[in-house]
Amino acid sequence: MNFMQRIKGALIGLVMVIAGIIFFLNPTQSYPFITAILSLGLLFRGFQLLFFYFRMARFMVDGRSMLYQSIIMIDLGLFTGSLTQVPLVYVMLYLIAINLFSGGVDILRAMEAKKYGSSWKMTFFSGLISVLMAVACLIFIKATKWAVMIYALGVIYSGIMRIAQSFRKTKMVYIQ
Amino acid sequence: MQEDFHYYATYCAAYLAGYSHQESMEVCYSAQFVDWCTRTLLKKVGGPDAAATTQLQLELMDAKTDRVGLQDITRIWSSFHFLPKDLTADPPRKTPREYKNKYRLICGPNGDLIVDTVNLAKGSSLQAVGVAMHVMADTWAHTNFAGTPSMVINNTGYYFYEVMNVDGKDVDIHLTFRHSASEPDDLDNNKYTNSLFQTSENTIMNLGHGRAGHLPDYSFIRYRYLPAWGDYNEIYKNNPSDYMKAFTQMVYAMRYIRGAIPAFEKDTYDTEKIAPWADEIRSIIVKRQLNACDDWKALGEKMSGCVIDELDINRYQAEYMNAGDKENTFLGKFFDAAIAHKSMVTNRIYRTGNKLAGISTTQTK
Repeated sequence: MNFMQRIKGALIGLVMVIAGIIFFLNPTQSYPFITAILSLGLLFRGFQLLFFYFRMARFMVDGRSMLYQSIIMIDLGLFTGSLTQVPLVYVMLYLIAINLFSGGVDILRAMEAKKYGSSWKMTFFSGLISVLMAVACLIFIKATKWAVMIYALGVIYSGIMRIAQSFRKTKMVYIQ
Repeated sequence: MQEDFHYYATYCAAYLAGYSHQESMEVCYSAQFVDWCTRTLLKKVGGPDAAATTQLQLELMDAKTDRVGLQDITRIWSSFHFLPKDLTADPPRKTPREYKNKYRLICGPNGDLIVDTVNLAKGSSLQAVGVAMHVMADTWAHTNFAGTPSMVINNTGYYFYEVMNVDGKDVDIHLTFRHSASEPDDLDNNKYTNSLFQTSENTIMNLGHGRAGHLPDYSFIRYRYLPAWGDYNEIYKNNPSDYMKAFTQMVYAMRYIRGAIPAFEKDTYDTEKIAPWADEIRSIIVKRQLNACDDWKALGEKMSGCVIDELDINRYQAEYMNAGDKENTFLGKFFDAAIAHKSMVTNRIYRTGNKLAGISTTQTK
């Protein structure tokens, strides 16, 4: 990662921390705001990937994965955007499912990295926290306010992890 | 390639081409210095910024990947480490110009640019010969990768096998790449470090052969993989064969530069001059080791009967810093040779309408 990429990663982390705090302090009113940010972020990244696929990646081996990623992101972005008129409990179920999925993927990635002798602990614990947070939210789903607050803590944690990862030492194969 | 080939093997090639021990030392030191001449070093000695032939890891980490930053990276890495094979090559399918420009920077041996490189060194300093030999050797090692950050060209995937000889038969062993900042490559268990996969097209992680780790730098290795640009056609890379060709082509090119041969032809190798040493050279090349410096050094000293100086990045720095007439110092001549070569390659790339290495003017004077 170069300097600008580190700054970008840290800024995204900071936005997540702020969003988490807003969510935590105002659990019932702030969710349309949070879902709007999530929706816009997913749509922006989705269209960015779609454009890259048609411009460059379609000529690359395994380039189609870029197309699939972009479609999934646009889909999720549109779906997230439509959640503003839905009762909070359903929004929470959706967010919990996303977290459960991404936490599971993180754990699998960490296990694979461990198998190859690479660094894995940070990714593993990040994934584990996501899964635990999703499970806790599910337990408290009937007390929606509590579930939202637990979810907000998870968002704050993810933001902090993102900031930490932005300043992590990265290896680049040095070509001679 | 590493210092084992750029320094010690280049010494052997220069000596076989007819250079004296002292001349061979200057040629091989210059070839190795291409991997040392960073902007950080140039700043320290007070050399010209334009003479940079490589970038430190930290310089790359902080390098901007905007248009101008990418041009700077491409000028350095395409000129000295990934010399393009065919600047007018067309991909198998119709592609946008942006893709085509990157595709045309894919490195390979025996292209027109290597002829230009050798001709530029002819009649010039020993430092220019060293620079040309570094570039020539790397066209063999770094084949199929481009000296510009690009995921769509330089990425590699799960399909990656090392070909090993087991009980007289070639066996494909699936290779595992890891992203480990501290561990060296594990040859016994076929575990290698490579650059992190990032889906950003221009990230520095996708420069050159970073995604294939150090495999192209090992003379002993053979592997099969699918290059990102290859339209699902497998590539079999036979480094022992390629490194032998690199060595014999270097001997041939230096004999031409010295005037022993009237013309430099592509795809021509001097197997005669190396014949008495061929078995020893082959045994070093195929030996499974991370670094072959000791073996090449011993061979070079056996050839010339002289001691080859240890690698020392500081050897000529004080001379340059204290000289009144810097141009005639060792490093002064190296910087001139590096700038001349970089200008030539940048100009050739620009003349094909490709601005990835920057904008260049043709000098008519």
